[in-house]
Amino acid sequence: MKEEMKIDELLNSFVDGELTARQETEVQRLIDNNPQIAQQLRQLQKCKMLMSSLPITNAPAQMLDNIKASLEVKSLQDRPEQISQERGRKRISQRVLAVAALIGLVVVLTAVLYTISPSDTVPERPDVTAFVPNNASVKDFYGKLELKTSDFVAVDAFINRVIEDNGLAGSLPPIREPNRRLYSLKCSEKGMNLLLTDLRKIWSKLDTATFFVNTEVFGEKVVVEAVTTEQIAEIISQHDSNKYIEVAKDFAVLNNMAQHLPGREIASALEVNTDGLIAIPKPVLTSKQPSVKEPTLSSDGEKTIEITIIVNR
Amino acid sequence: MTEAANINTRYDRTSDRNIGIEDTVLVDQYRQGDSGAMEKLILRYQNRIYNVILKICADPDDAAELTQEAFVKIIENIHKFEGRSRFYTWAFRVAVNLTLNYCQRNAKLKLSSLDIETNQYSSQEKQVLKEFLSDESSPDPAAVAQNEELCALAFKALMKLDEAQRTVVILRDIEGMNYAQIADVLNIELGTVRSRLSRARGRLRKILEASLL
Repeated sequence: MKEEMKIDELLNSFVDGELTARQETEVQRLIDNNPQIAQQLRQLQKCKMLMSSLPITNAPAQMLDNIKASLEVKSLQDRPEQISQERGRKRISQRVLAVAALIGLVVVLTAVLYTISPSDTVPERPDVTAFVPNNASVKDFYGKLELKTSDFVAVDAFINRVIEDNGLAGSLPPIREPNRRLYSLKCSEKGMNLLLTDLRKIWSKLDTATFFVNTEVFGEKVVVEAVTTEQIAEIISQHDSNKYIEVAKDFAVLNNMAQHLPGREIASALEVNTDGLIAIPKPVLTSKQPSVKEPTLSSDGEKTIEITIIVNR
Repeated sequence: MTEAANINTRYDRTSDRNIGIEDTVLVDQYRQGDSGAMEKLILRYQNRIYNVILKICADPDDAAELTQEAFVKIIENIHKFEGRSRFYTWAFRVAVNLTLNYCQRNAKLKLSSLDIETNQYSSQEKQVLKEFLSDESSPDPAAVAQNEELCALAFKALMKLDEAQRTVVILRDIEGMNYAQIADVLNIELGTVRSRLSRARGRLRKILEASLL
């Protein structure tokens, strides 16, 4: 048995040209004198030929671009000021404990007011689709939206489609990793709001949605857990980086409290009652003219929204 | 023409306009800040690495993602490349390890569908294989490569090997590596390459013969 294995290995090495000259001569002599081994060699050569005849498949044409994009996203994620996620979380938790009592009271009162009042008595929310005036203090927005879902395929397909539908596919191509997708978007506030309006449709399919707000001024992130699309729209509608941070911190505290309140009535009010609270108006066509895709890339003077959307299984 | 050179010509090298430049020169250029040098290395090896990954994992989407991930890892870890082995084998080591780890994680998912596909042989495939195996003359490699039924059969048989055996066959017969390079890529002894390849081909022969029954 061992000898048979040895002959097999010798024949394989002979076929592959991996024997020394002396070994090769000996094996050749063996083949010449033993028809059974000669037959074995022929089968081996055919087997090798079959494998080496398998067609070569070249890499997809966009491989180089995808690798570059993947590296860009990684470097964006690894920026030092964006890594302090854990520190940010700790700080938020401390803040939650410190102001819990005060904010809790405000939240309960607000929820009650919204529940019992008709919507016309509610102060009008800022028009998040309006462009920031040129003379305002405008700062670009940088952030990350991390979504986790057990319905990965459907959610990812939907996000992919709405990004294309909203004309945002011209940003970096998506990074496809096993169980993970990364979309790096760079667009106007208006473009982001249109996207958020569409994304609301799959929010119920998400297990978690976390929004990370970052500005160069503060050099750290604010983490808004259990974020809603309306809250994201509200944050990015602010006019300067101080406001982004301020509003994001408020939502972080509110959401954290809402998660821990008994019954989650207030959390539900925040998530569901969007008609009375914060609704993102979607443009409505008033004529019968064919649909024209809104310009979603930012133009000169307008603030730019840069968001990485990460979808995890 | 050597076997490795012959395999080399089968790949699309039209995107590699720097064939004369050594890998180590490009690696040094990249380390000195020339990002274009890495681009040249990617273009040089993307097809070969993708093809090997595809043959191991058998899924074009997975192969594209793994190839992309492999190159990102290669670039991120280029500072660890000490030049003791060739860049070519070092890059393949990264890619093959990544792929084998991925396959192991997803083995349970893929096994059932693969079994169904690879167990079915058409009567035409069987006939073509019978003729090929019983032919006493040396077959023409070009004719074999153009025979779609034979190639389909060969692929199905290859997929029936376990990943370790399949990988040595792919690296030897498809990528054209010598035993020392395979040992380097898989981080195993030369003797292990010899015995694993011998067992893999023995099993392939049995799979092909069994498919005639």
